[in-house]
Amino acid sequence: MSGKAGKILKDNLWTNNPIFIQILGICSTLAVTNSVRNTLIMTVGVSLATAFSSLTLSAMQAAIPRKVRMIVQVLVISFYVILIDIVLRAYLPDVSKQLGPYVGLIITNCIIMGRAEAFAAANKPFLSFWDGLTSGLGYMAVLVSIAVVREVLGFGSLLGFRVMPQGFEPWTIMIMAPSAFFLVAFVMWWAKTVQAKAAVKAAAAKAGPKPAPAKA
Amino acid sequence: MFQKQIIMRRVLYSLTPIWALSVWLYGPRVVVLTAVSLALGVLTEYLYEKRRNGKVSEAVLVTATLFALSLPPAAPAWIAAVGIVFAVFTAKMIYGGFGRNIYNPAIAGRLFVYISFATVLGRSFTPAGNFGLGAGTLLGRPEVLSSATPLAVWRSGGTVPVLNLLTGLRDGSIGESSVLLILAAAVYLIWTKTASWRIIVSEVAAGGALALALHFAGVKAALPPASLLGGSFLFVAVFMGTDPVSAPKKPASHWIYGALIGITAIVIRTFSAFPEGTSFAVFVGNTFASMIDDFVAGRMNARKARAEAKAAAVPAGASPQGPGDAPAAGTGKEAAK
Amino acid sequence: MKKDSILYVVVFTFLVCAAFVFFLALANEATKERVAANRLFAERAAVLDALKIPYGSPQEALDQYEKLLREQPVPEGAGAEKAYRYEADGKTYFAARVTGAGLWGSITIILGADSGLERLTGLQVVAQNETPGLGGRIDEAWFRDQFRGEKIGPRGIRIRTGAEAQGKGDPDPDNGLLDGVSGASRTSQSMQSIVNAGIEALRAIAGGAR
Repeated sequence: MSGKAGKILKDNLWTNNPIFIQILGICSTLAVTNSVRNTLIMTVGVSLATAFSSLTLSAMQAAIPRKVRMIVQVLVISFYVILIDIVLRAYLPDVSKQLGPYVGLIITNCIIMGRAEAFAAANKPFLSFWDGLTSGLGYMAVLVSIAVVREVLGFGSLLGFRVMPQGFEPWTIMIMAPSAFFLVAFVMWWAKTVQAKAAVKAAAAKAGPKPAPAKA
Repeated sequence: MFQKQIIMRRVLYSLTPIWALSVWLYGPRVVVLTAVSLALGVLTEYLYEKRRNGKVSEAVLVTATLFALSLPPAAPAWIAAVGIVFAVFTAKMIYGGFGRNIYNPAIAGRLFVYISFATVLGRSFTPAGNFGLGAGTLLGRPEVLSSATPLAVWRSGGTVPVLNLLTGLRDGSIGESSVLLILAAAVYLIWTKTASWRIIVSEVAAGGALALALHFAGVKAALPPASLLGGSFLFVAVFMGTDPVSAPKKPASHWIYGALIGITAIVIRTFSAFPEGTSFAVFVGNTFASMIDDFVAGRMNARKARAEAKAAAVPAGASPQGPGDAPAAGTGKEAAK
Repeated sequence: MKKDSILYVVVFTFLVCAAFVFFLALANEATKERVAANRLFAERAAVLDALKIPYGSPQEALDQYEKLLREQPVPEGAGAEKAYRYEADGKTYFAARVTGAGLWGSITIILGADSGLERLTGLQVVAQNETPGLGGRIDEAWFRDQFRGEKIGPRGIRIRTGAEAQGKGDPDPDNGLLDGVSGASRTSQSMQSIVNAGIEALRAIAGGAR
């Protein structure tokens, strides 16, 4: 069990990361990542929504007729997203005001539905919860690192605190969505290069003990 | 270290008089900006190519020079550094190096810094002439700034003497100044078959026609016809639009491509909040370059198919064309349109 | 009952929807008062801020509002949704709630000025759906604070946009010129027309009060 959980964690954070391998949830990557604070709130929201909707759907799965599978998934997902919205409005009105429509847009995040369909429909509830949560963390890891670059260069601050020296000239393009496009591309490039190198190494290690092939 | 590229050398030769004039106009700042841009551009490409045992292309020299010439004279050197590294790395090397990039790297770098540092660059224009003495200091932050670039003057309702536009005695970005030198470079590049005359002509004609139409239709934001000689319209038409890598390949496509750039430039220049539209226009042109080629190829195949069909329909008539390669299956639909 | 029979599907979908909606309704009901209190405080605090009336705790804000402010009738065609009147040191101030089109949706502001329409007292953004981090920055302190005591010119105020905007705030309160958000020209332009519409509304309201 724990071995499986560990594998899920590694998959969702690295080998099957929702952003740079599955390329899901890109809209929110472009939209919210120009401030670390909004990114954190958004990604926590997505993680919780994914985790709990996976849990619920997995628990209900035996009772769901196949015909209305998607409708039920959307219902459960929107339930949690609306719940998050209500909680924010009641207890964090400032954040709610600032994020505005983005909280509601968590519903459209492809990662949630992707996990519900690809994992929760065929796995036990707690494992599904764990899968949803770690998928959210994989998403968070990428988005927060992009947000750090964008906020530091675009505003000269980090989480609202000024980190760059006085004379620093902010890079306006980093505040705008296009910069997220090429930063995401850089992350994908880096991750895939590292993974490809690791794969080559692993293949070499496997081949190592055997007698080397005649062709050098 | 460099791979020899005769075409790129010719572009460099044609840029030399423009660069020399700009040194007289703006002084040592030009030398510093060009040096920074050249050094970092070459270094970026060298570091990348070293891993693949490749050679640095001479095209990077053109990119770096064009990028430096597109900056305002008192632009801080660090902005030139950021821009050229972005240009060469992101717009060129990532795509696979020389010949594989979709966008003109110099334009990509220029847009990157223009969007990011619009305020700083907007405050980096200095009075032209006498080796940049008019700026008060020869290096570093200038004491005297100029807000009288020709486009700004026209926007605020003033006039700019056409003679100054021709000779280059006016404020603006480093390389865009003298219309006469740019035209001379254009003639040289066309004469040596380095640049496509079709692109230059269609760009200037389409942009010029639209500018005139807007002006005489009484559009409020339209600039006077002389504005085609100000700003970077001609500079970009001659040097950026004709970049053989990012332009379409077929001669017939050049007409569409040039017209697209010219029209986009004038539309942006007239109706947007940005003072200049030429870089965006080239970017738009680059985006559609391969599509234009595709379209033109489709039309040519369709025409060929039609001619062949006609030849086949008339049994006695000898086909004027050889058998040729069979047109693609989809072109029948194109012909039907 | 078979899982794929029509009856089961209908009953199941109905029950599931009912259950989830019930819980949502419950959550909504439980937080309703809190949300309403938040909203009331936000609305009143915005008016107080726009009129430059200081307050400490949320409770104090509500009290100050009750004590100092009067709602003012809005004349027909003034373009304001609500207006407030405040008197201090023998001078009268007005605030108006105005809505206008932003880039993505409508922007609602509360704008305060003295009755002679010489200077603004302040600006608060009540509701906006602009791009977070770009146009959304009209809600930040540096942007709002530059409106404090800004002189109203003959043609209202002007907000710098495009390459002119520095995104730092304009320090001079006498030039009727304010700094826009760099990178958000459209939102800044919208703000300029909304604020100018607000000034006209205030003029009508102050005129109607005389």
